[in-house]
Amino acid sequence: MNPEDIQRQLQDAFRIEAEERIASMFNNLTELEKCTDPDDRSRMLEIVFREAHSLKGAARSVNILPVEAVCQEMEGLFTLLKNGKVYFSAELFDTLHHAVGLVEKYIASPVTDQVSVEKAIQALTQTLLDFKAQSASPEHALEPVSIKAHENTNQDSTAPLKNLPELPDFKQSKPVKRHAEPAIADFTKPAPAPQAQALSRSHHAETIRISTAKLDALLLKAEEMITLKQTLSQHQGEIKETLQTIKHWKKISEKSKKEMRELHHLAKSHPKLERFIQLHELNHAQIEETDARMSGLSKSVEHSSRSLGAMVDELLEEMKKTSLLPFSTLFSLVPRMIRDISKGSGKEIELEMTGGDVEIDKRILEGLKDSLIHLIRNAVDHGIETPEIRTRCRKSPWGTIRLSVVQPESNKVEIELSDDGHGIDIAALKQKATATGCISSRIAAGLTDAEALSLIWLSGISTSPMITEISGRGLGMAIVQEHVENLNGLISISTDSGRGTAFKIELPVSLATFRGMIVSAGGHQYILPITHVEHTLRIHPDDIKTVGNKSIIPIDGQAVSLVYLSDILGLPQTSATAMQGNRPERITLPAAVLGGGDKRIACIVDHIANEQDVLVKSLGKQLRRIPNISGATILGDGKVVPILNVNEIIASSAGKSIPAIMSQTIETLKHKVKKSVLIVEDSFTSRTLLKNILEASGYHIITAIDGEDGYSQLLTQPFDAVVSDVEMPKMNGFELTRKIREHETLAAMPVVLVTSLDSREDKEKGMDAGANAYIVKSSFDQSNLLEVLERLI
Amino acid sequence: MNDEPCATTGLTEQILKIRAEQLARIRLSRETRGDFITVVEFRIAQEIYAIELTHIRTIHPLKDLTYIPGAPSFIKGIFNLRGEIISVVDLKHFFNLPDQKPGHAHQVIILSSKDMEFGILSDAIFGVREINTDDIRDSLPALAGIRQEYLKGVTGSGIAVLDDEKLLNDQKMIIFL
Repeated sequence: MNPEDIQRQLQDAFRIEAEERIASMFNNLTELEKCTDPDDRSRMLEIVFREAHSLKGAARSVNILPVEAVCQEMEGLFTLLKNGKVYFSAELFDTLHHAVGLVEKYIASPVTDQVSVEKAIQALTQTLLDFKAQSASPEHALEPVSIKAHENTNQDSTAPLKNLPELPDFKQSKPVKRHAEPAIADFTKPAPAPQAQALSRSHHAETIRISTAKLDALLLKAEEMITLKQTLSQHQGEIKETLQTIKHWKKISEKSKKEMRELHHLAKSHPKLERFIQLHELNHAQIEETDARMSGLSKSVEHSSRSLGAMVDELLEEMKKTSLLPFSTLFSLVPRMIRDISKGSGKEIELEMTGGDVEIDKRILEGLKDSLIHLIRNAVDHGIETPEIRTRCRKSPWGTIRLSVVQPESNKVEIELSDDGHGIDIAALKQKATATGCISSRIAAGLTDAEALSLIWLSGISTSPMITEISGRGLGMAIVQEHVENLNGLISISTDSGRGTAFKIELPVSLATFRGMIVSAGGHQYILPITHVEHTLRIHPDDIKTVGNKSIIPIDGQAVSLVYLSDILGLPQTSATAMQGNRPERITLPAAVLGGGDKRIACIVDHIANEQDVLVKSLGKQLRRIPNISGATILGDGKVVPILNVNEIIASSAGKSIPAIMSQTIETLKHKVKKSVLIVEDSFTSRTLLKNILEASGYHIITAIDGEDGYSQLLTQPFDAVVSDVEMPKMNGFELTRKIREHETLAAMPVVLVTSLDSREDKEKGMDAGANAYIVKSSFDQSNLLEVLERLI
Repeated sequence: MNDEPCATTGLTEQILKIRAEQLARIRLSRETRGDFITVVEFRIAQEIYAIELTHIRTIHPLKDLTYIPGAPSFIKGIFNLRGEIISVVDLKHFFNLPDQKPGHAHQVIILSSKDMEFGILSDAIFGVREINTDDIRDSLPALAGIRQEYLKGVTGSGIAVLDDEKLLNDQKMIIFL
């Protein structure tokens, strides 16, 4: 490794270390500022001191001098604070916060921008020095000694800090050059510092740093084992089936063996027969042996499959744990952020956080960070009122923001963020939505409060009249929702006018696998994430109502719009309904009710299969974004199945609610079975055109790509008529017609030929072949064809 | 090849000597006749193509292609390559060639670079061979059309040599909808 590489590696390591130390300093400073208990104070002071000291050393080792300098001064200042030579004051805390902020900024900014930060650091270093200079004046230095630390009822932040006793080992470990200080040993209670140090030392022995990339790669490999497990259980099933076949075979062989025995007396006179019987016995013995071996194999495969399954599950479980991080890593950002935001506004905010020990996949935590920051900013900026207003409303002058995390189920985490501010003004929200043209005022008037509240998720809506740098631009909430949903989560909001607003975010604990439901639509399989499937049902056509040109279905007393999944995905419809035969009263459509946030739709599919654990994979480097599809998974049999993005499906369903034509189709379905027509056409365009025309008129359509294909379709399922092109590869329309007429059951099938061959000769050829109608494409318009079909069927 | 067992050391030496001579001969002809590139020759419908080995990750038999609704028509679907998902391109559609008789694609040639990876459908793979770059000419007017910009040229024997870099770096190949 060359020196530059080493240097780069060192710098990377430094950056990681610095981030952690800075976060810890920020938190402890914020706590320190609020804290009045002298023991707590000295403990926290010790922590910040230690962090500043370590950061100084780290900065020195990578030669980042400005950071080293500022840490040096902070460290010195902390020492003076510890010794009670400098007072805590709001001014001091601001300076310290500022100093840590600058260090953070310096480290994060690219080399080119560092000069300006450097200047600021220099200025700050001076301020820190000034604070230290204060300690020179004797009245300051003496004062803390005279005040007893137990007088901590005084909430003023200038309350002095209890002096730290000086323990010998502590002195040794202290690497700072000591300032001249009077020996103050009034309080001889052992300092918590050495304990903390011992604790952190053992902590270090038990943990090692591994790059996340390495860990992610391991996790990915472990996740892939799921596919292996599924494949093995598939094979196990196949072996069982084979075993069944063999057992059946053995039974047949046993039966015939008995019959063979009866032939034994004949065998004496027929040597060939005897030979045959011998062969049969040999054969039977072979079968029995195979049976025994297969039974053994089946058992051992079952056993292996079970233990492999358990091992894979355990491995994955453990691997997932390695990528779990406690929420406290995210919580650590919050106090400082609230402090920063509320500072300029004069608002007083108390923060309550619970559940910091709940763990979640670090990828989710990372994805959640920005959204949570945004929501907290909103709460501070828009939610909490100023102390004056709050007092007027008879609330406590300080606002409270609560952030709580709970884990109600093993794979589910619920985050609740609430404030006790003035809540969301629903009337203003409606007004804003109408003003920006999101909804019409007529619709706005008809919205319930809950519905109106969901307007907040639309982009471009903000009730804040003032645009600040952080909020009021109205984009935020839409993005927050998108982020949460990308993590397979759900976000909801509730508000109580005058009392506050609460957001609830539900998230899976781990990202990689989730429960998925396999459905098929348009002849293909897809996976719906179970978190977005409210339930499944079979829809009876009688329950479908039409409103405007939308089809809706009542679910739990709510009108839910009804769509075909195949329509949304742009797939040809293989309507399973028409295939169900001639019992219209028994036709029901399988559907899944999909929910995303506040919206829900009912989606008709061909078939709903089972649920299973799904491992998300990307669609590869080429397919970076495909509408409605979020990824894919590999099933146990190696088959690849796309995973649907339910939120996008719901969004794209807006324009795809079964249009009038489709609902007519359903209407027809209610009263009679759809007529089934086979379209035989080799050109894709013409095929689609014909299909669309006929489907729009309520026919059920199956297509074939040439005469041969068409003929085989006719043999496999019932049709009411055939519409065929004439010129086609393999078997042309004339031949197809002839074959239909020659077939005993198909002979009466109405056949319409649609062609561009407009000669009298061709027409006659068609009639000769037995076509019922002959439509020339040039004169072809849909009414003509529909009329002909209407007449024929 | 190198670890195949040899009966005697004498035989090994002899084989090595022959190989060395063969290699030397190729080297010699390279010097005299310009560069050689190693290509895979394959067939799509009725046409024979060649593509350099450099960016070929592997060649895999095609089975179970999963259709991706909403993707452009030249994306035939995705498939499972040992647990990894690879998208598959039908060059006939990509080049906008007149819809010929549907081929029976059996093989996928997987092209891969740092930022891009996809498979190309092929009806048959003929094998690996060397082509002299001097032998590659500008494509014939008969091959005009969109395809031309993705060809390095055509060999004397009429094999269309695909430009792998161009295909891998082409913006049109990135699907972001």
